[in-house]
Amino acid sequence: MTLRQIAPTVIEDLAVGRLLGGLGPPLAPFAVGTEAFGAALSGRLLADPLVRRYPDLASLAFWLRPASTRRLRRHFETLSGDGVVRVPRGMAFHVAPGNVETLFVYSWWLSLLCGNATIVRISSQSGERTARLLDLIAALLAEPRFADLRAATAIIATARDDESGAALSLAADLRVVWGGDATVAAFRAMPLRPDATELVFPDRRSMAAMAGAAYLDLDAAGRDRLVERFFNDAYWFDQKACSSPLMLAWIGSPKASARASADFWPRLAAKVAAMGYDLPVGARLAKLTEAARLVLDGAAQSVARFGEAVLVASGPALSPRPASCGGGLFQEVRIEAIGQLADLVDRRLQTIAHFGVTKAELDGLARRLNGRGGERLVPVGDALAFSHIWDGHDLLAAMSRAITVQPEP
Amino acid sequence: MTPDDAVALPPFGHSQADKDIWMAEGLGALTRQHMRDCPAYGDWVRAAFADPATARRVSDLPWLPVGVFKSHLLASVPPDKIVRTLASSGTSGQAVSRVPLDAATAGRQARALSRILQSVLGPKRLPMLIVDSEAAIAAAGILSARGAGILGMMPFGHHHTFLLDPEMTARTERLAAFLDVHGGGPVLIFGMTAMVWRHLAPAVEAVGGSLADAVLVHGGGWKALANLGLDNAAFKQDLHRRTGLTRAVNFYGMAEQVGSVFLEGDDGLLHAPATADVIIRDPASWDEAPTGTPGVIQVVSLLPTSYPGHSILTEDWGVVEDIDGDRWRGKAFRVLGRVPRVELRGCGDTMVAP
Repeated sequence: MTLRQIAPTVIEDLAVGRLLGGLGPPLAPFAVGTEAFGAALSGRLLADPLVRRYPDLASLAFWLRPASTRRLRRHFETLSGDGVVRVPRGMAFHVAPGNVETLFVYSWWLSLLCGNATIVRISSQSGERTARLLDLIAALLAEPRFADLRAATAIIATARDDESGAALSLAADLRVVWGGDATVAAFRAMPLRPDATELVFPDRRSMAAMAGAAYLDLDAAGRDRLVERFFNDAYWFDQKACSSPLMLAWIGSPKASARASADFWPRLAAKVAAMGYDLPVGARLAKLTEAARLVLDGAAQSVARFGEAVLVASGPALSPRPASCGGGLFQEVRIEAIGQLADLVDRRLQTIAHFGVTKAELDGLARRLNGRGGERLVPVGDALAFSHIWDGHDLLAAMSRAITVQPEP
Repeated sequence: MTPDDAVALPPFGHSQADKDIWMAEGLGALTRQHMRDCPAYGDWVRAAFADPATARRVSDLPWLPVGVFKSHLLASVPPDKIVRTLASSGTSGQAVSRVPLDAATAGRQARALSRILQSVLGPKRLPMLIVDSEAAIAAAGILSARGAGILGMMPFGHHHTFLLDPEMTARTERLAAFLDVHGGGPVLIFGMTAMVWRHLAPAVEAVGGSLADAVLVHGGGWKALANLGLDNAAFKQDLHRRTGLTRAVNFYGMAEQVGSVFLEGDDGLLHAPATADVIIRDPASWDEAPTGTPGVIQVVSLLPTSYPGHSILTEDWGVVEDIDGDRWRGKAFRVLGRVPRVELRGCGDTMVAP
């Protein structure tokens, strides 16, 4: 089974047995051919006109560059050595989310770098970016130099309720499920072999935290740069990415927080306008409705609009709302000390994008949270940056096996 | 003006300037009352609006997004005063709006509806054909807005005949019997626009009858018509061609504001009655849009005292075409459709900052 046969057309009645029978053996981790493939795909992507329209494609191309792969290899090497040899899990079955068009490439590529023969299931509802990615990947895999990769890869597109998931789950050494609570729950009902393992990525939401005094210390240009980074975190994916901030917590004295807030939101509104960010009327109504619900529930005490696409609901220091309608509705809270952030964090909080917080304070916060949420503490502007450490998992470690190799003394 | 005073006014024929005065006063008083009696509503007004006491115009007063009635049961009276909870029928799979009615509000709604409809139907009750099933009014406790509409209309008719069976199939033998007895004189037909469209003309054709002397009152289904690619004029033309019907009156109203009914005039536009009005808002600023500029429809009503639904931002799109332009006076507007529901796609989680 080669990719060429299934892309770009969708095969819905794929025979699982034939698919598995055609799948090649696992590869060596960080095989020369795999790394070369990343470089080649990066080049093709950067040359593609679609990249200019979709910043996430540019990010993917950037992430596939050789320099980035070398960093991944060095990390992988630290997982080995000292009596440990890292080898693939075997066959990995990845379920990509329906609404994250580029994610299947990240997941597949990390899995291949670990050496796994990898089947990726993507949604048959995928859009323009997926189609282009499949075309580029298929064209490269058709080259003789990537024959090993082609054999170790199958990308299948199925309807959501397709039954192949159960059979592929039983065949897998590793199952990787993206796409939130509903998808995870659906796959949890499909057994794995007793010796298989699983990585799952349930629903998550995120927030930002900024020190008011540090913000006020910035000059106008510095504030604008910070606002731009916050804009990228919040608006690139309509505030709907799991890592987009739904809430902004100001840290520090009430006076500093108030002054920083009064400067920040109008500046963000100006940035949003300058970027030409536009929201459909339905989304504007959804934001107003969600803001009203926050107030009716006692989670906000004031609602203020800044420009057309910044709506701020300020209130008591509670955890962010469970889910976002998107489009730029921010809860705003004020806390006096960084330690109080821990009170806002729950199991489903993923990223805290921070500004004006020291490394020691962040370390302290991570230890104080002690694993009950807040898995990414990253600077404002990096909230959406994909990393091989995600949701508390080291993906390279999780997608490989540690083999104990102990010579005779 | 109290809500009950407003209901006593003739429903149409007031100048906008006059009406603005009593609407601003009445809605201001309702806003204060609901802030006092529904604390959550008071929180919303204080959170999102300037002090209502400073409002000079109706458009300065607070409003509530209609979607909150789907998630919150907002009441301004104690639970023991609630005689009925009205639920919108809702499209399948979606949450329904719920509004609690006390006896005063329910009675006021019925009186207001009655006065509005008498202006087109006259004082005499007519034999009535209902393009729906008895099942719509059978449920106890929670009543659908569709059922409430039928119950509200039934006092205008006699010899009520439900055209549809509970499976929503037309009972042509009933229609034939109804037309045999009453078809010679004026009759009243009532139903939701989409059901009228689906069932009325085929049934009339099947029995070979004529509705030349009938008046049809229909509403709520213009969204369905839009889905069928039909406008109001084509709807009327088709009915006329197939059944001989010449008088069809469209109405617009929200399940959250039963009794506040906007009626279609001879000009084909919708007209606001004395107890209610529309404000069109620009979705960029949420300020009032000028006459002729489309925007999001806000509906205001003097009727609800048991729940804070006197000023609601709808999810409908419309335009005020004219003010005080004909004998109905006041605002004449058009509903252009539902604001498309959008699901922002989002979710990337795949960025690498260069």
